[in-house]
Amino acid sequence: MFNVEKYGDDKALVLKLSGKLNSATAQEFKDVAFGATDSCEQMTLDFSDLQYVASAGLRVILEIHKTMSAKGKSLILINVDEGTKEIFQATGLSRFLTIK
Amino acid sequence: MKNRAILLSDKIENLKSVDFSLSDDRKKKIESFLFDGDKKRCALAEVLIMRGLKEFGYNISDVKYTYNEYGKPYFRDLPDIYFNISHSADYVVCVLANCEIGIDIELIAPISLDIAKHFFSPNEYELVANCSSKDERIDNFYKLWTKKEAYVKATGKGMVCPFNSFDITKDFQYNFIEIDKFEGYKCAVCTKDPLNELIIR
Repeated sequence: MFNVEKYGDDKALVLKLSGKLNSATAQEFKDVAFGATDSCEQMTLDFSDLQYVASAGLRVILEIHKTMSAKGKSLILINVDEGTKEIFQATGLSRFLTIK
Repeated sequence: MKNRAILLSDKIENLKSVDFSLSDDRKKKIESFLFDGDKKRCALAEVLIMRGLKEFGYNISDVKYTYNEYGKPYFRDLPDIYFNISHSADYVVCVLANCEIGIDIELIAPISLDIAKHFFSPNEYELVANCSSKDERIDNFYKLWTKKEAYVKATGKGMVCPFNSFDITKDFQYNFIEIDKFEGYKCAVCTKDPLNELIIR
């Protein structure tokens, strides 16, 4: 089960992810996130209830980062557990992403 | 020189407790993890690395790692031995070789065709979209996905290499091996030069 909960406003949108972000659920996440890249100034991905990120999810996150950066906007990841941080480091993504 | 590789794998549930013969680096990393599953996954990865090193004739108690600019790990003191790790759901898989190598394993789950369209080349997408059945579509998706992941890991660039920037269905200078050992999963190994020997434990 995967879910994306939106809160905040266009200035600072928060997407709270829960469940497993994998090749089965990455499209749902991509649709919600990319749908907001035009309107929001800053996007925060809240990982506090995210159980697992597979490579498809990582690639979507990287695409969102690229899209936001190209528009001069920022993407921030919060409440990322150490296991997921290690994945971001091992895949080289921690060089690009802002993880707080 | 012959290109030789060893593939080792295990399920996280088979790791009874954290093995205290792990390297200091790994113990520190394990301690930083909050969830038991992450601790076990991390410990099992090094258990497999240690087993693989023994097969290559190295009995090392404290493995030290170094990382390239993209985050790919290497053995700091064994520059001629390469390794790569992947995990998905219950499994951790590890390959060691005397050449650059990449591995990917993915639990087979339902897919979205839009994800294939977004990340695959047009040729690759056609191979998925034109399948006559859902099962065949899923099978082709994961075959391509694991090969592409194994490739970007073999190059050392990993996630930084966009998936739609290359097409493995065309003339490709890397070599792939599909691993059929894991029921319910797809797994692929990639090397630049062909392997003369791949031992699967």
